[in-house]
Amino acid sequence: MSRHSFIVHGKLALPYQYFAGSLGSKFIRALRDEKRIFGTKCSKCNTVYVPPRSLCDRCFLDIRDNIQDVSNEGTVITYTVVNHYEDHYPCKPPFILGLIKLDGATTPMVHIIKDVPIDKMRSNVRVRAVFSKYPQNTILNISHFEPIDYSVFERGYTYEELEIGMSASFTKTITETDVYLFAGISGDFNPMHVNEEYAKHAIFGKRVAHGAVPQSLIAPVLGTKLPGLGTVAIEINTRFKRPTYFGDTITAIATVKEKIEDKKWVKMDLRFINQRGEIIAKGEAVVMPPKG
Amino acid sequence: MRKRQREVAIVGVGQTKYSSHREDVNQPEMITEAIVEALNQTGLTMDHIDCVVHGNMELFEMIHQPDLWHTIGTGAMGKECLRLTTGGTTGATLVCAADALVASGMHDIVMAIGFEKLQEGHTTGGITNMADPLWGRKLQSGALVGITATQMIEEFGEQRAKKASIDYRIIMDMHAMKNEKAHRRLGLKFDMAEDLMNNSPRLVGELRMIHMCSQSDGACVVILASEDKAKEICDRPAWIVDHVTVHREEHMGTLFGLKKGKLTHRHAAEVLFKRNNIKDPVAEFDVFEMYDPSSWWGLDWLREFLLFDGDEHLRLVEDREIYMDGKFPVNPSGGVIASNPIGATAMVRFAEAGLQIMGKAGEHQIKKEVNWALASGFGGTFWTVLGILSSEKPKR
Amino acid sequence: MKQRPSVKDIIFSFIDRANYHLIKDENCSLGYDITGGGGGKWTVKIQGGKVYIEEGLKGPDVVISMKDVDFIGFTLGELDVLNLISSGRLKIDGDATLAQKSAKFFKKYTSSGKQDTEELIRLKQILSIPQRFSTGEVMGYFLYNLKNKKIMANRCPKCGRLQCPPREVCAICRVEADEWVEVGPNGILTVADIVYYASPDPLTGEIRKTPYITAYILLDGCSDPDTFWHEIDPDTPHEKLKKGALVRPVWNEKRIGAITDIKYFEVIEG
Repeated sequence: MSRHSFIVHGKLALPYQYFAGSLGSKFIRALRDEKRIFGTKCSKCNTVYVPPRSLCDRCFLDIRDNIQDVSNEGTVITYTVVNHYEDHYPCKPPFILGLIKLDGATTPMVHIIKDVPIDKMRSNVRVRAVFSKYPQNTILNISHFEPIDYSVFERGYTYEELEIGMSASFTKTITETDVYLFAGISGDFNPMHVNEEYAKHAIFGKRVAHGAVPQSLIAPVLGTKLPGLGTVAIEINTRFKRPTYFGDTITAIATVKEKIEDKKWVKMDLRFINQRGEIIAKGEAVVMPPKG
Repeated sequence: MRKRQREVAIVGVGQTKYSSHREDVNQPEMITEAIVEALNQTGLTMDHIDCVVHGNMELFEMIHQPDLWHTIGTGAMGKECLRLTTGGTTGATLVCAADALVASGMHDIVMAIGFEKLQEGHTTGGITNMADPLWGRKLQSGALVGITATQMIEEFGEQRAKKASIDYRIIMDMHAMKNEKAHRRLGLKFDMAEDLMNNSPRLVGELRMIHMCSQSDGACVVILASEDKAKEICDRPAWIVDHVTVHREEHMGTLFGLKKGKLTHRHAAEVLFKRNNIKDPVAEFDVFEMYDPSSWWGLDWLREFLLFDGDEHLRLVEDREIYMDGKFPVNPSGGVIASNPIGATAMVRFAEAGLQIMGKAGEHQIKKEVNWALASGFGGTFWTVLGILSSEKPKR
Repeated sequence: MKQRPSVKDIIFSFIDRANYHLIKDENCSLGYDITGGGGGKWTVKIQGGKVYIEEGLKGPDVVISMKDVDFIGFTLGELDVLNLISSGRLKIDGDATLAQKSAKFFKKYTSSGKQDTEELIRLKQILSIPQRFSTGEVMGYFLYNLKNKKIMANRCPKCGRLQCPPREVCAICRVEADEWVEVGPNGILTVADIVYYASPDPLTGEIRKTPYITAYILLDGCSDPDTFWHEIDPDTPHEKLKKGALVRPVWNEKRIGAITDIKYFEVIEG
């Protein structure tokens, strides 16, 4: 039999309604009419459920009357960035969906976080609920959450926020100009850097960059990325493995290696890699991350 | 056919009130009501429950979050769980599954939960969408089928067929009036028959609104226990003797030829009665809780389940013998016509049959002692579950 | 106890309760014949995006009849509309589809003494999900042939029955059905259903036009009970829908390889 299978496009369209129930309605009305958020508390396990539930499913206890107000402010436990788009999404991508634990609540709730530069979003940010101008009968009575203190996005990661294994990098192509400028800055006009004819007969066969040029690429990593703004470098050690030729593209990578609890300093592992994947240098840094 | 490791009994039943106005609760809150009633009846707590089986039909509510929703409603967090959906038979299938889990020795006490909130969706639209998209969706009218009426009118004459089906309907309503959990309790009287059968709005052919089951919100819970636990929990448990599930090819066309086709109901009854040595079901069963989606189907299916060939089923109704104090009581609960939260409906048949055996049916308890009960479920394009419950522990 | 509204209060509240964005293109009138001491007759006219109330029945498109206590109970949401209709306490005379549709024209009634009733939140929406289905080989071949006005069945090699629409296997014999046979296009009607109930079209969510007639048809070449399910011309007089009536398909001009390529079957006269 020949191939006769084909695709038929269809649609499933049906009217639905959803009942929030007595407690759910009370919750929505409080959001809508009073801009108030409440949960229900289990008197046995002390869990405060937000949004509220009638039943503590762990204790099988009816808790619908044990209403407890919680704050409109809370902490982002974790978050994700939505880049994909479907018609029924609450807003246009990219947007941030956070798991927000309101002060006084035990359970976190999911909501949209706005007014944050997406590349600067992070966990543990403090946020507050922004209520919708247009009352509606869903959780979108809270339009979104916004950060309470924007300065958080202008500083690097604090000691508490840094976790072992976190990593960042910076990449740059080293040109002849870079090397000649650095020769000027440092006064190091060593012919192996600036004299091609001399360099032909020296160990590397042609001019090479000063070791400090690729090494300096770790500064933007530590100072602006990880830990980031507010970081003070305590110590940087580098061991050189290979030369850097003019035109090489060098990536400097820093990874959190150890947290020094008594000083609140962080030890970083450093690696410098060229475009051929060769390690040109390795090292270690100790830095003092910014305070929260 | 019985390959049980041990015997199983229904030891507890919980039901919400069935209604089309449950705006006051969401789905898990509604389920909790039935669970609390079943736990109170048995004196058990959720800690005693080894496993929860639950089901409904998502297309009716369009919420697909069984894990979250049922944990919130049941207090079953972390417990063994099984979820099943087989259409209209869902509730009965859940009882069969719970029975299998206990009979096999896997669990001692299993809770089965069936529920539906039909007011949250569009029942007929939902059923229509369950059909083959290339074929049936444009044609079918959900569970609204007038053909049985047409066939019965052809066979028994218009007046007799219409009168018998409306009498069946009125008897079901009289039963529902005694069941405070029932959804539709209309207060129908026999002298209203002529008016109802001719003036109730038509749905499909001679299937009129008065004949058709309700669209209800509600939940039903049945707790099943192993033989050594059952007696501790309940003085007079309802033992599960046997059950059978029968289905057929999906295509409806082979049911509606020139000659009336053989229904799965009759096949199920033949199999079940043979292996349990039942010769005269009318004499041997004290009650039948039948899944009757409309009074036409209820009437016609009596014939199929009881293996009649002539007009015995009409006479049972005409002589009022299906009344709760008659010779062969059918649906003292009021049946599906009165209450139909679909995912729970077939379970309610087993639950109500069980309550009759336990003697806990309340105002709609049959006066004579109930020792032997029949319960059926119906769904899909004729999918049948038929089961037998007994007051005595079956012998192996 | 809360004061109950009068029938008149409720009728005149239609003006405030109208969903004006839904009625802006409507032109219709609803009659209310409310019996009992607190009753009366009113016509609610919807025209040019406005709602007018007139005393008496002024030739409305549909008349809704109820007792006063039922009307009030129904409006307050205490009585179930299906119960009222099925027990004959609510009668609809005229355009029943309009009566059904008009429920959307007005918001839920809330009395002025509303403080003691709890507002329960209810979200309404039409969920619309695009879907794609594969016909599969067997159904694909069947649908392809409909384009050429051919109805194809497949034969079970064991029991010999012709399945239409075709299925991959004969479910009874549990063997593959692999022989194609053209059947029909004419046949005889075995049983018909006249559908009065207006359900939503699953493709749009819009309410279907009623009544329509569905039927099981024994196509020429097929044997009982392997019938073919389709529709009959909705204008067919119902007395012609007899068992054994001869029928033939009416094909659409534009055929796309769908079951709807057959518009419906019509009864052959004589």
